[in-house]
Amino acid sequence: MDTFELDLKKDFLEEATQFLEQAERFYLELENNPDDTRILNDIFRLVHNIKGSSKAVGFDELGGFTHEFEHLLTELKNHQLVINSGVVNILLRCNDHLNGFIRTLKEDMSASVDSNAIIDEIHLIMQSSSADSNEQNTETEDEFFFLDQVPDQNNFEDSPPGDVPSENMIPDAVFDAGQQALEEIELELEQTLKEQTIMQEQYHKSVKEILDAPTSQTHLHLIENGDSLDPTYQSEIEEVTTGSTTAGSATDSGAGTTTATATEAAGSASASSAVQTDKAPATGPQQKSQKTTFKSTKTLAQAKSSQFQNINPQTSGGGSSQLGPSGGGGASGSGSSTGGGSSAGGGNHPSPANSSGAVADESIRISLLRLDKLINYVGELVVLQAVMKELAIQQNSNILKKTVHQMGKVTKEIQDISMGLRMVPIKQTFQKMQRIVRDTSAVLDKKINLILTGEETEVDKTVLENLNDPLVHLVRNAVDHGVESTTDRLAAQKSEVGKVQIKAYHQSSKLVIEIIDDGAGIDPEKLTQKAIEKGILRPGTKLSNDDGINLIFHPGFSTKSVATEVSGRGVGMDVVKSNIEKIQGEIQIETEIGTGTTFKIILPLTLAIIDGMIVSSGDEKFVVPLSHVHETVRMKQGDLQKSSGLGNVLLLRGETIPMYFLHQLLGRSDSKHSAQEAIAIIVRNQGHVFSVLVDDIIGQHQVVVKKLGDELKTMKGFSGSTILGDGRPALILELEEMISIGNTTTQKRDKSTGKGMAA
Amino acid sequence: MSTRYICFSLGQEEFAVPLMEVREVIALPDVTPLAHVPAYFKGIINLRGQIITVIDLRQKLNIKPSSQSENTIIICDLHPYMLGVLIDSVNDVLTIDDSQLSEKPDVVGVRNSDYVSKVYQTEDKFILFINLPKALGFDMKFIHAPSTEKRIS
Repeated sequence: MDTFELDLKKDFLEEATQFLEQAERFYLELENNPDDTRILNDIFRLVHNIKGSSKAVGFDELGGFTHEFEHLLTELKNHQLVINSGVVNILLRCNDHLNGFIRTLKEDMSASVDSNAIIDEIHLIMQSSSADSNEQNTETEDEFFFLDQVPDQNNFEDSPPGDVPSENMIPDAVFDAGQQALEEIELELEQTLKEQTIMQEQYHKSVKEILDAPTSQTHLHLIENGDSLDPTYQSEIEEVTTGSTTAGSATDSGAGTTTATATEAAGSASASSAVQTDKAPATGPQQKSQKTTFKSTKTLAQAKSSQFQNINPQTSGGGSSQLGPSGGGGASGSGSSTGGGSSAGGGNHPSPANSSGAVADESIRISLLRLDKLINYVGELVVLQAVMKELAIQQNSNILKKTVHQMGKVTKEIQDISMGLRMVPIKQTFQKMQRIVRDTSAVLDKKINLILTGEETEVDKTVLENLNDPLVHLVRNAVDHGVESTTDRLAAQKSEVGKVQIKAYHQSSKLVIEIIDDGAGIDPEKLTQKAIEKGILRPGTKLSNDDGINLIFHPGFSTKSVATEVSGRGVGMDVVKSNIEKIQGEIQIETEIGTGTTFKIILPLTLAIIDGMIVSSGDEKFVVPLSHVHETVRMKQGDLQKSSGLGNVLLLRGETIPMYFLHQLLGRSDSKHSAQEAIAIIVRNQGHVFSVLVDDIIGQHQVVVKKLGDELKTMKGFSGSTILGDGRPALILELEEMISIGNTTTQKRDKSTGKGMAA
Repeated sequence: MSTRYICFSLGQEEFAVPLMEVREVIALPDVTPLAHVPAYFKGIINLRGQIITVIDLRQKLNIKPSSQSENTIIICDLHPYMLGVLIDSVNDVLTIDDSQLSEKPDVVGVRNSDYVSKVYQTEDKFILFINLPKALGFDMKFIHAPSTEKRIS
């Protein structure tokens, strides 16, 4: 496989992943609005795109499966199949299968995935519906017969308008089938033309344009340009045209006024549509062949109706009325689906391909690695700029100072922009929650109304990645443990449908995510009881409400006596907490018995930059994340008490706070300053209060966080490193972790059970 | 087959590692010390914006620095680790054919013999070829350390 092909495949897989993420949201929307044909059209477009591109880049197996999938969607679009949760289940499973498929392909391009099981399911659901739609089928047959005669009638100069059957005999299904035919034609054309020259591409574009929505004269000109085409290509067209002589001749007779090339284009298009449909597995052979005829006719009619209008703009009114059977009929059929049913006919109907073009965003994909490199260098730039600023002050040159000042502004701007590049909306993660709520509530037989707010809230990609697992767990918990069973809810005089809300918003440079349920709430008494039963607490222990609720973060704690499919294994909340803390976040619980529970996750917007307090201990400088610092106190005489029972304690406004010396925590022996001149940093973390004594506070800066190498993974007490203004590296302190090592090595203090657990 | 090696001294002794493992050689910059790590972890340095851990190979191998010891760092790419290895000085880059190398003799009771892979000797030279990951203790202990992270159920 050459690199070009490989790149194509890679691009496709990336793109397909995005499509599938979008698609999942559509399926869930569809379940709620089964009548919304717009959603179905969107889904169809996505699946069709995947089908088309997968075949184009050579993933035939994938193409084969999506083809079957597309069949199912066609039936849905044609209302031959009613959308219910069973169908949505199949759709979601298909989507999962596609996801898995693409994941497998990402790992191994030549991998083969067995889709037979799911294809069988698709067939099953399609067959089960065929009985219901028998009636509809006969109807459709009638229409096909009628349309079969359209080529003759299309000779509109001869056929009187009265001859045509009434428009409302053509249902949506027919129009949609036509639309589908158009899509297939496009695809076919694209594939045929792939290896042609630029000239031919241009021609292809004009054919496509005329098929899509040729309303302006320019399109015709483009087609006429096709006259000067490479002869080999023209002969190819002729070959295709002869392939469907009926269609071709119909065009010739029908569109006498149009140029020969345009006719040929339409002919080739319809011919390829015939080929395409013939290739389709014949689930119902008779119906299929009729469809084929219909499609060719339909396409011709569309192409011609538009050409007719273009050539004779002044007579377009009459033209479209005469064209009633084809153009007008299609338009009226489409009225409900896309709202394009004007008298102009099917010709200027916006095709799905067109709308997909409009959706395309002005963006490019960049690998995270390159982005990180950029951010890394921007960090360097910031440091160098700071050094230069120092120099400028020493040099005492005004112009230098001015320039450096300007440079500082630009640097700041660049830094802000590059940091912003890592920010992504939380939308994707939220969409996954929809699926989780749906699946979980189905297993538990609960009715849940999920409300998502703040989908556009942006957050650093790394934060988001680390947020996924905790969020999944919390949402599942909200459905399983939070919201009561339907009977309990009715007994408590609540609405039968439980409400779970996920909210995201920014609050003073923090990201806040709330998971709110209107369930039974958490009873701290019960939790305490359970903890005593499990031997986590000593019998008779009394905890404050907060400490009681915080028990759910204790490892191995679960209130469910039986582990269910969904939750209850007692692994989870402690991991949720530690995962969130790993990304510098915190989690809070607000709960009211009988009304519900809110889990509040508070996260930094980015991990790449933190607000840091730079402190010194001896000759060394360290960074303490500002978010950890509750307050700082300059030590006065008598503040520090040494006691044999409690070690060093700080007496602060009547509170007794354990105190640790930073140089001791670091295992250094020297401290230049006496404790009396030093500064105490007070940390309060969910009821756990302590202070750390440092020599001095040097300043507060935003610092760029740099990971430490894997070889230092075992080193505890530091969350990373950074480069200070003087270009030297400094370690970022994780004070809580640091004192916990200090505790195990120097003194084992008997902390109260409750606090030990909450921490 | 011949390979290029970078030869350096630690105290009075000469060692060599494959040139492919070495990314660059730098003079010792300011080092920020670490805490709660073995003493041979010298600290971290800023290498053009990248934080690199520096390990003192002399200390790791218990070799006394010579009186005129210089300090040089060879930045080694021992995938997945990027490490700065503190040595005395780089002496040479040699292209040596595999056939010129001899197996190390069986030695019992010498702690450092584990990391010596091959021996090279000429009339005026005696060079020990060392397995750097092994010498630094990064051959298995860290790489295969099971992740202690628990997955959320």
